[in-house]
Amino acid sequence: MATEESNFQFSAAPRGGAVGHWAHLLGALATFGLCLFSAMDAGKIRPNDGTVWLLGRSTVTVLEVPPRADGGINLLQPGDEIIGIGTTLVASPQEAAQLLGRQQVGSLVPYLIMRDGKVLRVPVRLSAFRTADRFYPYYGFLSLAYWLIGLMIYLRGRESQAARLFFRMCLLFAVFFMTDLNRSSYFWGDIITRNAGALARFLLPALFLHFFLVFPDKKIIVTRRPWLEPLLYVLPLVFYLQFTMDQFFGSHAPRIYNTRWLVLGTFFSAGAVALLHSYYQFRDPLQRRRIRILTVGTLAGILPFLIFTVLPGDRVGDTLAFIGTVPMIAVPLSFSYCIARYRVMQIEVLLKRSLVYSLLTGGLFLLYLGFVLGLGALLLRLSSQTSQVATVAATLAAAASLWPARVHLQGQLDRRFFRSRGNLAGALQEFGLEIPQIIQQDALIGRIGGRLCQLVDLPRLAVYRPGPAGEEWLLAGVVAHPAADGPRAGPDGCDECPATLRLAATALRLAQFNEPYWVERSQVRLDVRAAATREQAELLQRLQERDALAGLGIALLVPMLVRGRLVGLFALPPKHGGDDYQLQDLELLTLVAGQMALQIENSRLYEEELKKQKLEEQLALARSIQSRLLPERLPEVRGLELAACNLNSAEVSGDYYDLIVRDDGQLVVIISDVSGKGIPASLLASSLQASLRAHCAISDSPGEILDRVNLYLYASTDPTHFATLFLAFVDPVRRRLRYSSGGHNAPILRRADGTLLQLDKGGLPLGAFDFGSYEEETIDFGPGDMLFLYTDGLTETVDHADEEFGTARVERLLSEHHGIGAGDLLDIMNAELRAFSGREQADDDVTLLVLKALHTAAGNPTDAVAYAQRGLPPLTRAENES
Amino acid sequence: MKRSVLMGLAALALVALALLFLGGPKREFTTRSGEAYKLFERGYSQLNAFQFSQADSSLRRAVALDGEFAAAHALLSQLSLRFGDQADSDREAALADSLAARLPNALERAKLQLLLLAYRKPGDQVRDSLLDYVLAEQPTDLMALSAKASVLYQTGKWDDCQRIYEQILAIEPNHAPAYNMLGYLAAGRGDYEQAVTHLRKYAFLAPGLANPHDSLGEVLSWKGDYADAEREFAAALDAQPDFHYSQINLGELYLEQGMIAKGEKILESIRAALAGLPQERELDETLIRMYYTHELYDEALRAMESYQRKYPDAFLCDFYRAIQLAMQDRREEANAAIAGFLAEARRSDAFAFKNYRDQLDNLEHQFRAMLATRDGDHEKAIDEWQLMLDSSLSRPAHERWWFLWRQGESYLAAGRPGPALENAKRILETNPARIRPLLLLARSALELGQAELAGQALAKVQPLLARADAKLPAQQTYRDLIAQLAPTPAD
Repeated sequence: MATEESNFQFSAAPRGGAVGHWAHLLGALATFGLCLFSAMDAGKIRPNDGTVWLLGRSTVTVLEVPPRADGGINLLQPGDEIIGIGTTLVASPQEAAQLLGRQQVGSLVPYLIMRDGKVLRVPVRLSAFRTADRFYPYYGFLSLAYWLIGLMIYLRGRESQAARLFFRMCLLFAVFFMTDLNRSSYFWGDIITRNAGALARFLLPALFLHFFLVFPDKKIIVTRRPWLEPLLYVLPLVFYLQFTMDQFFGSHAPRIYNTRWLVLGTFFSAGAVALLHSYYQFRDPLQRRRIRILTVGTLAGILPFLIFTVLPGDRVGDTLAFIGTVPMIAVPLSFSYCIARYRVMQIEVLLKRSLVYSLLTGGLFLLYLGFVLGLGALLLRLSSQTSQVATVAATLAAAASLWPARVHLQGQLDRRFFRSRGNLAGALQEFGLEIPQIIQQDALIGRIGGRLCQLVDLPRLAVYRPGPAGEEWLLAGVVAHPAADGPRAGPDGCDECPATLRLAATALRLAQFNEPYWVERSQVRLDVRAAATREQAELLQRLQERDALAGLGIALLVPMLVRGRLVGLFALPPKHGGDDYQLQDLELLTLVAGQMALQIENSRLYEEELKKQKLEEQLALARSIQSRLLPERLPEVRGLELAACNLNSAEVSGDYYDLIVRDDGQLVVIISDVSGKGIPASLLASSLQASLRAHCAISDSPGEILDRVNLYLYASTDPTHFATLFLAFVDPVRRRLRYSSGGHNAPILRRADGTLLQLDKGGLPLGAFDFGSYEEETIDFGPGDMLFLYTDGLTETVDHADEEFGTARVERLLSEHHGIGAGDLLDIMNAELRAFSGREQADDDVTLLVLKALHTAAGNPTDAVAYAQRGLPPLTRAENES
Repeated sequence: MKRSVLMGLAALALVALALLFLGGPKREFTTRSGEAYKLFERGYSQLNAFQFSQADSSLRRAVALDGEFAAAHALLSQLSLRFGDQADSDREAALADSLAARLPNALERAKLQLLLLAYRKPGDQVRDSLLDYVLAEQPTDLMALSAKASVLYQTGKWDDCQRIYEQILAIEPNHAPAYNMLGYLAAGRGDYEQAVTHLRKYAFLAPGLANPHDSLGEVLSWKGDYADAEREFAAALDAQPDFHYSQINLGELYLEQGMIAKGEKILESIRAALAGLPQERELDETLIRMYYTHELYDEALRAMESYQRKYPDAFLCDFYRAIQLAMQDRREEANAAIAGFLAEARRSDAFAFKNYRDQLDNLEHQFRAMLATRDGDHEKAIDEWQLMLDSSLSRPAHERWWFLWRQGESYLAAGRPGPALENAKRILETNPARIRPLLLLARSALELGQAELAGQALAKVQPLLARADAKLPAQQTYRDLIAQLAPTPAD
């Protein structure tokens, strides 16, 4: 019987959702009502004729005549049909029961019966009948305890299958204790409680076994064969149905036969064996300790119950059954203790440790007091003394003699709750002081890890952090025991510590339970095809990962959790000498891992903050550089209307434009997009501007200029850094335009007649290669013609559907808005762009430049309009009129 | 508008409440006194249980509480009849009748009239129409159903009667009188076991009453369980020492078993108590029947003479006179007497009913058969007995056994032991403890050469005769038969 995991919990999603939840609550309420009713019913004294009737028929037939408790002789015989009671004829068992209920206890009541076909009148002395015996109050207490603990566990852990099963088991135990199968007094209340009692008796053993098949760990056999779980209940349900049929339609009194008791006892025994198996399967001392109390409590309760109450069946006497049932209180107590102390089934209880301690201390004191008084009384009795002095003396003597025992027990209790672990406490204090002072991760791993290796006697300690891929965990550091020659810290790994671990399901587990994860090579070989459900698939993955970890020599994983998020983990090999990890080791590792996780998280946040500050500084610098590249004012050129704008994105890019008026009156138009972002791009743009300005002063051939600048850039920058650029010389007098493009988006010339022309002559982007030439072209730039230049930030802006703005849209806008000014065109483009993207800020820098040849005499300075927007928001129009 | 409606509703509610609390006590059957009605119910039950004195007490207390309690007066009228006080009965009936006229409710009036008519002759058109009316209005009214069943019983419609009683039990499973009547109906069908079952239920439902035990004793005696019957009669008398029916039945039981002196003693002991009541006449009729059955003809003749003196107006008086004359071989006078008896009887209103006519035919055939027997014309006697048997098919076996026996005796006398044997067997199937049929069986068997069967019959009759009086003629017959059965030296 292999177990799946060792985390005391199951991830099975609650079945049935809200309906299931309400059904459970309704079940709890119904059980409480049934128990209450049963208690009231059982405590009531009623007249009884000492016979057992056959129910479910219209006639009242005597099934059995058990020996009377008062030793009297019952004149009724099995097989008699009761026709009348008292002075009334009866037509059904229910009617007969009602009649009987109206009689007086002890009275001699005439019965009219049919025996062997003859009607006889038989006097029957009615005895007092009460289901509850002298042990019933204890059963009531026990039932209440089970009900309460079951409900508490369900309410706090209903997502867990184990909690749900435990809850149901508690309900059945509650019914079990409150009901009695021994005899029926055929009142409807008895019929109900008896039937419910039978249901509890049949289902309980199966549920008990089921619970311990999934708790503390779900057994592999159950996971691999899910049909086993419902199968457990088939036989008990058949038994129950037979019982019910016997109760109402049978020819004999319904009872649980010996063979059935044996079967039910076998279920109980199997449950106990499953629990023991789980206990001995655990190598993890923490887990074993958590389950130890629970195991002992359950076995201490269930074994006497099994021996004295279940296996003897209904032959057992009341006293013996009581003796067998008394220890059953140990089951809810042990579960309560384990939940309060160890969060078994991941249940948090509101009960404070101090309250538990106070209660236990109080209980111990009361126990002590009881013993003192008892021993004192015994001494007095033995000595036959009656004087008050002797009484006081005896009591004091008893108190004195028992005092050491009380002190010892109290010490045990104190140690249990407020354990003073010298080394551990000291180490924790040391770590608590040291960890917050170490900011750097490496130093943290080195110093704290080293100290941990010393304290826990570890050969090494490796820390893994989550990698970019979800399942990949990267070695953040490894530190060896200072006395060993093993690997030192280093993120590249070593022979024993791989640089990466692949953990998916295991990581989920660690995050979920925040407790050490014992790595042990699975002894079970699972068939991949067996993973039919999600649960099975997860299990399979966990087992595969566990095998892989075991193969890497990792014995224990300790989660580093911050606010439920797994930020790292300790991967630990077996301890020196192959010793087992002790409980203290695990607690220390868990606590330190938590502290380190917090510190690493703090460190990460600190570093992120530093990076952010640095980035912001760089951004400011880049913006400053870029702003200086752009002309503060647009030049005034007669016969041309100019407009330009630069729309900044969040990041500073390398967009740049320039307008230079040469001495010969030509206007040099430059628009460029430098690769990269931030300062490097700004610097490259700055360099490009300087180079262009120099070359434009001495040459009027765009192709030649671009050729030279390309070589210059290639030589002075990394090949990964390049720029696209469009360079044009505009002669406003001769109405001509000479241009060449270095891989830039082709500007669009809209002729006065509305036709569009893309200026795409040129060559490769600048600075990328040391070869290639740049073709140039000269075209007319007559009145009404408008040249629209832009960077790729315009056409590559995307909307919500991830569709690009595109060149076609630009051309459409140019076509639609014919005859407008350069500034108006920019306004339209901006508005369209903003509407298209739905955002105020562009994803990338957008630079737009518009030249319009005017009809008026060339050189009218009032035609120049400049948009030199810098910074944010970009779409605010700022005119620069001259 | 809405407010006024609400206020109106509130006022209505107040009025309803006032009516509820101020409307006075609930009106029961012809009275507003709840206590008087309870006494009436008790008296009615006691009357059905033949606890006449208790019933009388209850009903008189009821009318003391409510002098205008018509139903109570009607029951008192019935009770007075039981006590033989015709005048008082008439007076109570008249009072009830006058009170009935003042009852506002027609159904109540009808039910009251039913009570008044309960003892009228069968076939009373008024009663039948009243019954139909009440049952149409209240199909589950137990009083009306009981009256209906009673009418059906009296008219010999046994199956319908049984159906009504079963209907009553379906409404009220613990209706004791219904079990009483079902018991008698079962006995009438010859299902004595079923009759005992019903009557035991009746006894169970009415503990402390004499009548259930008396009824049970009767049925047990019919089927020959004399010891059990004796116990039941004793139980009846324990429950009600003045229950004269049981005293008569107990005396008859002893007479039936041949314990003549014991029977006579019991019957004579109550004669004084029954003086003037119908039961006294029944007592004398029982004695005559028993003497005749046991062939104690002298005693029978004396009893018949006494009967004629005491009850000259009784229905059977002339019949007994005819029998007496016939037994004294005064044939002409006997014939004249029987003719006169029959002529008188046929003038009765009851002659319109078959039961009555059958009864007259029976008596006539009985007389003729007896005459034929005395004349030695046994074949004629056989025929006459057969006619009696044919005309009494509707009567239960325990009432017809005597005819069968007498016919058997005639068969034997006519030298036809075979049919005699069959007749004896038929009688003994119902009651295996009848002395005369057992002796007839033995004699017939001997005639037929069935000594073993005769021996068995004599073995059965021996313990019966051991308890019987020594003077009983059957004792001599037994001895003779024993002598015939005893092996002779020659054998």
